[in-house]
Amino acid sequence: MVFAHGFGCDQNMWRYVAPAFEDEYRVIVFDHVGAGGSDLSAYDRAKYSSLDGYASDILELCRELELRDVIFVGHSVSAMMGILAAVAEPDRFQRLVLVGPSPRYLDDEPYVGGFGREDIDGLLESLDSNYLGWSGAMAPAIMGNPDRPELGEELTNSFCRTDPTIAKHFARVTFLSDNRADLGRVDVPTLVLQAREDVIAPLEVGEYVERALPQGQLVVLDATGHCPNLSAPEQTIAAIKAFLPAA
Amino acid sequence: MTTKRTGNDASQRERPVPLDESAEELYEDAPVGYLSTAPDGTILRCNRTFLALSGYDAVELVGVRRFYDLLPPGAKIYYETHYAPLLEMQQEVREIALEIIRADGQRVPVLVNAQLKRGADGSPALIRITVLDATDRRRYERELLRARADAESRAAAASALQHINEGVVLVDDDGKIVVLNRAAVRLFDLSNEDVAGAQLATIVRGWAAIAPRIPVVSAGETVNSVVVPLAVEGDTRWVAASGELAPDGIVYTLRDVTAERRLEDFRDDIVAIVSHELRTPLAGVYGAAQTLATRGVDLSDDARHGLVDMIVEQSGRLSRILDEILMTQRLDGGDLQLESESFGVLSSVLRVIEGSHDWRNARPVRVLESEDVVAVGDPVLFEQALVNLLDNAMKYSPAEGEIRVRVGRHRSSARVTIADDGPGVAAENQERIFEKFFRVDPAQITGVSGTGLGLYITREVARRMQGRVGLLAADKGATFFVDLPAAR
Repeated sequence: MVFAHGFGCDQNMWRYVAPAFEDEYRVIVFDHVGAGGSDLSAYDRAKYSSLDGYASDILELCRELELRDVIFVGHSVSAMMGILAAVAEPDRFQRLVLVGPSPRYLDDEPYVGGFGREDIDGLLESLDSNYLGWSGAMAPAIMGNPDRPELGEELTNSFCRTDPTIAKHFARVTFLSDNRADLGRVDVPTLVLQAREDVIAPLEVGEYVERALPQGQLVVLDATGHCPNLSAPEQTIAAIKAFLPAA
Repeated sequence: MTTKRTGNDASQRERPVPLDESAEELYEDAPVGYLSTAPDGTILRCNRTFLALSGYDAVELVGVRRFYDLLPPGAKIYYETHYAPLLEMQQEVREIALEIIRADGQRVPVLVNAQLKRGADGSPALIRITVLDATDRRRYERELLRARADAESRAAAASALQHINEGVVLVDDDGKIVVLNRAAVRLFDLSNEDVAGAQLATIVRGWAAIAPRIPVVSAGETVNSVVVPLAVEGDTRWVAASGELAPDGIVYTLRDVTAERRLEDFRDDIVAIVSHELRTPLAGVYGAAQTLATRGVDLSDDARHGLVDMIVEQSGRLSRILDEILMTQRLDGGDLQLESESFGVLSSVLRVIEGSHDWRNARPVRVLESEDVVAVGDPVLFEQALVNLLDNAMKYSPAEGEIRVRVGRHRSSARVTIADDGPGVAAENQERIFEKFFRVDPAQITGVSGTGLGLYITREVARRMQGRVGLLAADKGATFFVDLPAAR
């Protein structure tokens, strides 16, 4: 079972859910390049300027660890990365679990994604205000402390710590992506887990995803917010277990 | 709130608190907004400070709205992707910058701290939030962000400057270098790129001579650059230069136009050669041919032979001049292919001497005691170099003079020396005679003519075979030498 975190934080997003599967499955959690403890120098702007770059990382991880019959659990934007990976190598995946997926965040008549272009700009501004740190390349030059990289670190909110330039790029790639056409090409049984109320992935979007998937199944959790894996872990675990074939 | 104070009289009194400072008052009127919400964000309680900040009445918030509902969409995404998960994972978040939409629609930047309180069973029970009006702070941060964007764009501009193919130098009012890009480093032949702060005139010696000649205009005015000769390490570079006044100095733009300039010079010299050097033989050929054509039948056999000989000789001279020009062009254009083989230098020398007997200005050549040295190079081009040196020696020799040639070794080279009894070479010309188009006597007062290319070709050819040409003696006649690497 491979758990992939979404935009914002890192693999800690799975801390209340992943352990519940460790008895029955080989559980793998990881940080996307650019997030958490990943090697920031591996961040290649061109590669990660579309979700395909992240999807190819997931496949690389599967190959490297020689994983077969993968149950892929992707939260938020990672759900679409899982879709792309499963389109590329359908035989590698046995099940997909998409938590709060959205194939398109922007409204696009008649499709309702929930956001307008200006909202994404608002997000980028929020990112900016919360990362007053200078971008990695500029900080040493401007602050004149090239030998003290820790000056830019040690943030309180460490689980969501990323390089600000990467965070903004990832935000753009995430919220401007459009993977609606890919949904129909996935021939893997897929669970769509959706909170009752989620501004980022509203219920209509969850229903859209279920309809578009050849083998999709929607389960609405009695939870609010975009992270039921944190706010309602028991429900999330139960829904996933119910979906997986008996071991 | 009480404060203890120790006085000299040792009496310790509690200081009276002048206002109501009950816990309730402290909560309601604290210098920070307080909110308590249910785990789903529904506002359960808030203080007066928060109400003032948000512009709402308590009845519009408590039990009705969630904290989250007060955020604009962009901040909502941030809330869902950062704030909420962090709170779940760490039980607290600190100093999250958000915006709140006030009741009147105005946005207020705020800094938010929050704590998640769990119930006895460990499930989330309550969230306590402090909300601090950060309007001024945000303004300050925007300034910082702007400064960062500014600094980044400046850094990008500085980096672009380094990649421009024209030299750019910013010099302050005291003549000190502020910025000097890589093209300028190359142009000035500087060994060190780190020259900021140095006097431009000190590190570039030729600068003082050209600076006054460079036009400097106010920003935005058009300026025509002037081409000035810049002396660098034994060489002259031609630089198209212009300057523009900057707020704190002058920005000079410099372009190396030496190659263009050389091409121009070459064209000028070619024109000079064509007009001077080609004219005489051409006139000879034309005159002789015309005489033969119009009055050929009336002339004696001797006179006719004389005219034909003149045509042969003068057209041969024309042909040699053209060969020299073509050879120079190939040398300068870099498309001259050189062989590299071992050959006996003495036999080359003897062959060239043998061929010189029927030159018009032939003088006797004596070969001094010599050793046949095997050299490595291109034998055909080497013989061409010898022809030029021998021709030069004969041109300057008096009619009764003789040329003395010797072949031998000099260190690891094969050396040929060619000495004549001519007037020698004046000290000031000893370097320059090998320059392209240099002629000792351009007005041909001495009657010695030439293209000024022979010695240049000889030097270039020798150089390309890792050899050398030079002048050994120049006071009583001239003694030239040419060295080629000896075979091992």
